[in-house]
Amino acid sequence: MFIFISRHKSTIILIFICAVSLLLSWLATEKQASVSYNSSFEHKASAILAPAYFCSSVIGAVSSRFAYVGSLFASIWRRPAEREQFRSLEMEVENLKYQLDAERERNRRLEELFAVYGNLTAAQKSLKLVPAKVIAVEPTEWFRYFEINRGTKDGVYADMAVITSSVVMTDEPHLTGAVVGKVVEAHSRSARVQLITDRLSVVAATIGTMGDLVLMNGQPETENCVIDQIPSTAHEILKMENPVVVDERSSIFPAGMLVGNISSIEKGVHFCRVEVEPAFRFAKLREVMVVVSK
Amino acid sequence: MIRILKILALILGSLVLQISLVAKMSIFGSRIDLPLVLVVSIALSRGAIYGESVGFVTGILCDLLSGGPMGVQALSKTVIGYGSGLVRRRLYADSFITQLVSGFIATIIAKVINLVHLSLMSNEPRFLKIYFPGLILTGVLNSVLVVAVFRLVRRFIKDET
Repeated sequence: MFIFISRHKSTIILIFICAVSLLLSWLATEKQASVSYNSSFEHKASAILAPAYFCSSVIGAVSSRFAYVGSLFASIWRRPAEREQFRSLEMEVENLKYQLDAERERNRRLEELFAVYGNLTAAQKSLKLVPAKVIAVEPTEWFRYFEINRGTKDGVYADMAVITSSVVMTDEPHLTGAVVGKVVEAHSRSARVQLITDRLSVVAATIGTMGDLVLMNGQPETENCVIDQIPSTAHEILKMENPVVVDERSSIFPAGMLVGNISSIEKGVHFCRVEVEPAFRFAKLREVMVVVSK
Repeated sequence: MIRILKILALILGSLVLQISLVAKMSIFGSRIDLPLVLVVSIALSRGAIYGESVGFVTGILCDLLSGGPMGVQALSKTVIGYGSGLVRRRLYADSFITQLVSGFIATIIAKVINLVHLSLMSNEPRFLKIYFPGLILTGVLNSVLVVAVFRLVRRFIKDET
């Protein structure tokens, strides 16, 4: 017997230890499975395992001291990946900032347009406006046209005026409507708009307190409009920054609506030539309104 | 007695390093198992009885520190310690090829024993899903470490004359 035990010492110890391990596992399973578990056996097992519990608490306490070193090492270990992640997050933040700025600008434009819409419809109850978005622009330097996302299905037809909002810089800056152009072609869901700066555009206007009807043509090279054929006798009345508004005799545009301001005056022998800077900026044009009835 | 204290110091040291340092490092998603490496190294150096005893003690402490079910790692490390001790009896343990192969096979067997044990405890076969590439990488890492730790153990725990 003793010879057998001494020859197979390691195997006997293995079987004993495996039995103890399986017993501990069984105890753990029973404890989880049953609420009213008889824990007297567990108490005995806990008493045997007390040194192990003590060792584990010591290890835990010592490890927490080393945890700082471990974190430092881990941060060096993870640094390249973290750097990469930081860079991509930085780029994402830049993109989001850019998008936020674009949305804020869009909000500001829409608020201005809405204010102008409210003012105009309050002042003139018969005025009906349809808001539209600029969806495409003419790519050539010779003509000034753009497409909007409203068409005949929305009540938009050819020869309807297109306006936008503009800030008038006087003693008290205020918002007002400004003439942009007119619809030249209308499809079911889109329309083509001719700007007042197009060379084929003609707007019946009046300058300041002059009261005389003048015809304003577009000048796409300078993004301005010109008024020729003003008698030289009117030169003294004309002043820089004088507002140019739509004449009441215009059949397309709303009477009195701002077109632009005088930016230069050239006096000739018999006639003056006046250049008018439009009240809107073509590069910033995103949203407009179509006057469907006035 | 001094030898037992040295072994206990090695066990405690490996557990402290495993929890504080090794747990925060991963190589392509795989982590080194320092206590297992120590069990294999001691078993190759001192034999089966030392191997299974160290395996049991280390396994119990691992179970307590990990918060997992008691006895799972105790069983697997005991079996690994015994098996590695048998290798010492039958093969040339000082050869680094023996150490490499022992470390690799010990990792695989420990993982399989843990998974089978856990699946029997929970009556669900879901624990039988093993991520093989990760397991092989862990085996390679552990086997390389066994070569280094074996030499350290040999130097630290010398035969008392």
